[in-house]
Amino acid sequence: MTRFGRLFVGSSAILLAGSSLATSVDARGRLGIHPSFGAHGGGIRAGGQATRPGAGGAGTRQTFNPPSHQGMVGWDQASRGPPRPGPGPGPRPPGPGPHPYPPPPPPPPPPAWGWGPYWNDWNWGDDVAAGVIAGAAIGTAAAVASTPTTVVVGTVVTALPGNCIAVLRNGITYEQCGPVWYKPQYLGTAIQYVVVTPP
Amino acid sequence: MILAKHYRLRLLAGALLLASPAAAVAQADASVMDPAAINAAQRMRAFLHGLKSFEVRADATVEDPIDEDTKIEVGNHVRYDYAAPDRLFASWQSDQQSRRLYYDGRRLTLVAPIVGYYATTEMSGSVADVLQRASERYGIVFPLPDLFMWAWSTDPAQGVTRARYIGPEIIAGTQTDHYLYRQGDVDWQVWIQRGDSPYPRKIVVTDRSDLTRPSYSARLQWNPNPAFSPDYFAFKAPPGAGKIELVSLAQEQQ
Repeated sequence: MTRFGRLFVGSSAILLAGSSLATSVDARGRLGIHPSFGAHGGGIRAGGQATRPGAGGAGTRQTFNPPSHQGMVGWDQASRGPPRPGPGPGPRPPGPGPHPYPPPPPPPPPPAWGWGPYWNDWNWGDDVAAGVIAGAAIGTAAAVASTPTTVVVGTVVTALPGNCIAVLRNGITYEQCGPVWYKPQYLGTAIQYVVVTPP
Repeated sequence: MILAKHYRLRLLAGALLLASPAAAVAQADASVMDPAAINAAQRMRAFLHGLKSFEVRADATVEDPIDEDTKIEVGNHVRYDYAAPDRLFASWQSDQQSRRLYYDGRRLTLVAPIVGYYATTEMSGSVADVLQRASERYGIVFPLPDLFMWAWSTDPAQGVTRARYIGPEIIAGTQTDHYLYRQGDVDWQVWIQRGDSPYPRKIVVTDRSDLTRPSYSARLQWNPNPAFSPDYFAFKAPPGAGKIELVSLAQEQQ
């Protein structure tokens, strides 16, 4: 963080107000972002996807992809990658006599923008530190296995413990994990959970 | 987060390209400050400013120093859909996170599509203003905000100490010109497309204040004048999405 303190001081065109902005966001945002370094706090990972209860039968990321954006305006064709060359002359059963096979057609040139095929592959592993909300529908606070320790109200964590249920109260979503209630929040674009008194 | 510091890096570097040519050139000799390089940046800026809508995709890698002499590289994909003056959809995916931002001129909504949370706040104004306010109030920083800062900010920058033309290069089959700029601790390289549409096709920003010299590198792909339906930029919460709140940085620091 201090390096960016210096960077801010030394630079004359400051578009953001306050170097403390960077410090607090960096410090908090760093937690839980590393995919394999941090502990996950026991969150269950169902095949690398974090699904929400009550998200209908789909319960997958497709739920959050508004139809108007799925076409990738203007790039429908391109985003599927360059067309593959045709099968070409494969091995044939021995013919009546030796004759040279025609050469396979040359592969088509790559499209000008180059990296289409894997643009849409990033559909997994979001916020691996966030844990998984397993199974129960929103609104039902069912009995769950108790969390052994009591946690002080106001504690901030970046990963939920296991056995959490999403509950809607007053239009805001809370996570109930045993006796402990967490309130998810965005700090910048990172998600953190604050322990709160049951709403 | 890993990426946050590099967003700030690029916000600072983006201001570099707003330098007025006269002030910049007066500081150093021509071998260090090439007027053609300054003019190329200004031309690109004016061009971006004139676009009424665009769709840009970036395939980026970020180098993140994890200790004094080690840095790791993280990849991400960024997409911006923009319609002047106050419509924006931004999407960003990396191995660690997936986020989306919707701005429809009245509300700003931040979504974590896979985790399933969204938060919304009332905001209005131009896209550049809204992005700046979102970062100041809530710390929301998306990659490549400079694309908007270049074109729409009127803040003059100073301290450009180097502007240099490196040479012609081909990026994704397109002829571009490669330029290097320096402002303070930041080195900024842009590959500007030749011809009538001087889009930036690749950007590399290097932080020289860190011993490991971490860089943010992004290859850009542009779709000019896409057709967006009227409700494209409005976020509609799907069933099961959890509404949460944005933490205001002002209250966080109390």
